Amino acid sequence: MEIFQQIAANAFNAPFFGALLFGALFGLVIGAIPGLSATMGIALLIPFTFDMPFMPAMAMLLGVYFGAVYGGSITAILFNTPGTPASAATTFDGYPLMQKGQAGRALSVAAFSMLCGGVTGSLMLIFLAPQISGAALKLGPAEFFAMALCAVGIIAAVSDGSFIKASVAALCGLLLSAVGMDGLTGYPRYIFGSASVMDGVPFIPVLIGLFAFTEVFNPASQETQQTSAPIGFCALPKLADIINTAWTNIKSAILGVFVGAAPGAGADIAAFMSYGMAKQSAKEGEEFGKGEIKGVAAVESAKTAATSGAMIPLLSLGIPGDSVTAVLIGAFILHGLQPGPLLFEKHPDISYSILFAVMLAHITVFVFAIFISKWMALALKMDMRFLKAAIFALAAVGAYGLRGNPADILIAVVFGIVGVVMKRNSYPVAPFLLALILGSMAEVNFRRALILSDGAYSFLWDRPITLCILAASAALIVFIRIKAARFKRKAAK
Amino acid sequence: MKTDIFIIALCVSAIVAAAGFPKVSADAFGSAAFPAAVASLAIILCLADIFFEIKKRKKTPSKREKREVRAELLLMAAALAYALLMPVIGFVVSTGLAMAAVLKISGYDNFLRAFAFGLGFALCLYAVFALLMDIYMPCGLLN
Repeated sequence: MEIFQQIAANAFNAPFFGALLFGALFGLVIGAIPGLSATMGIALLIPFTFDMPFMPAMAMLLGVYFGAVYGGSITAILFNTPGTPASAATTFDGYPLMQKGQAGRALSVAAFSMLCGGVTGSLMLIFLAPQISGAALKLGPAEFFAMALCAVGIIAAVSDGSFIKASVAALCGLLLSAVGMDGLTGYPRYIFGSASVMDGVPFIPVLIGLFAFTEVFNPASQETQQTSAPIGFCALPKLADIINTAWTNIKSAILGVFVGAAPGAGADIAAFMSYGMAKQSAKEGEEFGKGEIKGVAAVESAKTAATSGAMIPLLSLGIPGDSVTAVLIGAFILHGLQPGPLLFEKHPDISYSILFAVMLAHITVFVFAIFISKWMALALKMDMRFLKAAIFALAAVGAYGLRGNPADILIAVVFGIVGVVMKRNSYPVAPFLLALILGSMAEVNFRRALILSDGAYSFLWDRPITLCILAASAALIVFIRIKAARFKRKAAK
Repeated sequence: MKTDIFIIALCVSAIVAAAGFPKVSADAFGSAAFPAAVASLAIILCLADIFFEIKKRKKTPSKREKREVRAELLLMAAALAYALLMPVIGFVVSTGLAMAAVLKISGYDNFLRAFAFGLGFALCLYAVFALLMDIYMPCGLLN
């Protein structure tokens, strides 16, 4: 009872709610702007929390985190421009829905799925934190390599069109991830004297190029959008959509928590994996990619749940699960609190208040999302040529803003051209993108596992979890391709 | 098929460049093995893709309108020019000009209005990023 009183004292006050509301709104805006990530938003706001009490500071930063993760989906649905890497998967069905004149439906279902994922993730965070942390701690480099390979393989398998082309795209992404300093030896690879790519090809400009600039370069895009049907906005999702996506939301949320809890595997992997699984298991599998509402729900639920999952190793082990939680850990330490196994023992009031803040932040973002989506959807009524010019400027400033390096704009433009070429030649962008994100994780963990096993490749089948992940993903890829081939034959008949 | 050939050329160059990476005794796999293995696999798959494309004798894709191709190339050129000139001309002026160019290429005829919109939008972005977020934006001509 005492703990509840302490939580109430920590959380039910004006500064806490004020900070939470500001953080959520700021996060939504940051997430919606291509190139500005949750990491950047939190990093920008940390200096403002110096003089704030701990709980309002945490509420604000958590609001930014969850707001930014959802904010990326608004632009992904409306403009085919994901604001964050995790939102890239939202474009697959969100944008086709927008083109069908169902932007409002896509946005409201996305917001509701975000709430489902957030609440489910928060509940799992509260009740399962110790167990999940224990399991995540047992994973070694071999398992991380297997997980990265599995994610890339599955996304290549679920891509439309030729599996060979999708695999080539994935391999090109992996090759591109090798640019920059070698993660183990520090040797600079393929940098050709440029310091701009010393830390690897900057991911955000590539993402902006592939999604935003490709859209700007598309001369047909303004005509397509201008002739699209009315937005059909509704503030809350329809009951039919809620029922239709309920099971997808639950499944994706559970998957998202587990993926998010594994260090290194964040919301982006959860989103892509969940999309693949939803596409595979749904009766409407062939409709995925053409504007299937379950595709939007699966991605939103999983990626939001993954953010709660990422909080598990952060709070209970002191290990950040992704780049955002790495910045958050800095904020904890800045305020004199060391996350880790002792946090729940030494500061139960604060730890449970944080868990409460996580849940509340998701609800706040949902409320804002419902209102903000309305105004974002109205943007579609403007002249699309002006919108295109605005996307151009936002993409350019987004690519530049992360590092303040003009070379990043050039990188974004070049990858915009690469995106056009890929599209024209039927090479899917998603495997390329995911392979680029996971490339260094796959390589470094593979080499670490090899070093730990004294150069023997037996770690691939000696470790049961690794073997299970690899076998399951191989089986899933074969199954997906067989199903796709059958569907193709049926369609041809 | 042209893209496959281009990717093959890129992968061969990657393998050749990887041959020069040093090896560390503790790391038997080395810095070169991963990119070389990935590039080799990509070459094999590209060759397979070429083989299947020849076998299928795919229908040539429908010809796009000249106007569309021209607009696409112009937009790419404008973006490249913007990326190269932004540090010299400055963020506000170059973004204003680039946005006006995008509008013009997209079929908006009133260049002055387009430039005014671009300039206004660029100034807003400048205020948010440079003044509010304290990110350095090149001033160029306005310096």
